[in-house]
Amino acid sequence: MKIVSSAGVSISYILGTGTIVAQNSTSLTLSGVTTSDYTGPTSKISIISGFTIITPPSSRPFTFTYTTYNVSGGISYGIESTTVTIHCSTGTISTASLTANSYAVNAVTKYVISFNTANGLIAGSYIGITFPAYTAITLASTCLCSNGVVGCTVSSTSFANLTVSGAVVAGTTLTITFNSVTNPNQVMTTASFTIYTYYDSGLDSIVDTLTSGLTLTSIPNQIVSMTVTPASMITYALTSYTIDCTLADPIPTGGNIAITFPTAVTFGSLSLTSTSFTNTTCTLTILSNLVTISSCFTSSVTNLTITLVFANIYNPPSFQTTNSFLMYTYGALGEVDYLTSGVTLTMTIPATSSAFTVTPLSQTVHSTTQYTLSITTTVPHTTGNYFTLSIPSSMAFSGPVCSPVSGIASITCLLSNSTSLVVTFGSTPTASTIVIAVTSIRNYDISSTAVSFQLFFFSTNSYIM
Amino acid sequence: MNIGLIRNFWSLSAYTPITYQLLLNGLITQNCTGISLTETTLNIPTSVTTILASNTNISTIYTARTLQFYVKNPYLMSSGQFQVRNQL
Repeated sequence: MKIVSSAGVSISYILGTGTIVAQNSTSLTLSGVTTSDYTGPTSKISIISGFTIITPPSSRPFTFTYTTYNVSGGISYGIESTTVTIHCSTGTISTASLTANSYAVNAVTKYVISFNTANGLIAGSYIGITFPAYTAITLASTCLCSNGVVGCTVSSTSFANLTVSGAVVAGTTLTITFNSVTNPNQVMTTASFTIYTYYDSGLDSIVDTLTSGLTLTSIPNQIVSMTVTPASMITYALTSYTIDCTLADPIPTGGNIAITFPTAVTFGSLSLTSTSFTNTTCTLTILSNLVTISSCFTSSVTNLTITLVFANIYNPPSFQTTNSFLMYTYGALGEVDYLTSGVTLTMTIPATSSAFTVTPLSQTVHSTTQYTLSITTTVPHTTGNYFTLSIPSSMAFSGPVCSPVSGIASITCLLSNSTSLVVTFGSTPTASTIVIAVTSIRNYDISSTAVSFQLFFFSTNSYIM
Repeated sequence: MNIGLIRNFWSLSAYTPITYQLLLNGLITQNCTGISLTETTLNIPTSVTTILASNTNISTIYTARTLQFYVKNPYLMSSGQFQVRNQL
């Protein structure tokens, strides 16, 4: 025996103690369910193992009403009654996946969403897919379902409505392609896309749900171009830098710009003197060689060509090409664009020492004597740096011995040829002015004639400084 | 005249008839009949262990379900009937 309501709840009564006296599509009346008279108030009627229930195909609530009757003269008189409301749990959509043609921030791309239904649907059912914040379906764009009885329509930038025109059995894999969706504007893992299936047009007829785990993780774009132009190309000059770059994406509201300068570039009292965007509220944060510009993007910067001018930067101390500048743009939640290679600097003009004197112990022509050199350097030096000392061709080094006098603790000399000496710093100078003594230089042969001495500084790895 | 603490009849069938007597100094002076009364509201059982609890799954067959109904009013073996009605 089975009774089936028009709405889909089924009850059957098989093994109980009573017998059926009446039934219709929604009710079942039994007699003989007790073997003795009960007088209450706690007597129990047990109808053990009597019922088989088939629950409805959606989570729409339904009720059971239990009523006792006393039959007298062929008429049933009600005694007690109670109604219980049942809220069935929905099924869980499984094997859900999301594939995008591009995961790059701000890309307008194709999404393919696939999932398995847990319970069946019928003609008149529908499926709702809600896109999370930071993604947007293009209005009036197309979407398509792999199952021919499921039609797809983009209803808004965040919702797609899929209508069902035929049976979709439980466990069916549905694959929906959205042809135009805009990715998040910054790197993030979105909240989950949600999928609800509905048995009919009622919002309370939910069949299956998916509310977690179906996310999209976006990735940053590379900055289109970037140049760094110092105002001076002299080694270790304190100068300004102009950075011009073309971004791939706008900087979202609440974002920032982070630039890592090469390690060879150092800062004086660094300041941001001008920008291509409003910078009155900007904050400059300096952490080692990382400079972050923040608090000035109260609205999205949509002009992708930006210029930054920094003042009080020390150029690299030598002609050695620097490692690359790094630049990142961020939104409030994540990275947007990046550039991590290809932007380097190579100085082209050596710094000039601010002072250089040469003092011979004897000024007698053609005599071999000791010279004292006093050099005030512009560029800071470290152990291993060296300079070459060149003297006129009519003079000559004669087994020179070098010794530090002040400003440095250790030096060594190596004769390159009779008129060129290489002096290497055996320790880092302790002052900007260093004084050294060089013995055994033969004086010029003609008296009262000015002669020129030249110094050229080099880094440990032989780059001009 | 109000008379307190009279238990209602235990089903919706009519009280027929209700009789009362008029007394004078303890002696019956008149018998009266002809009044009937029908209760209008079903009582609520003491408790029910229902066929299905809430939060069961949709489109699922539940077999051998037990119903336990604790009556508050009398329920007679010979005349008692029990009805289950569902509504979506």
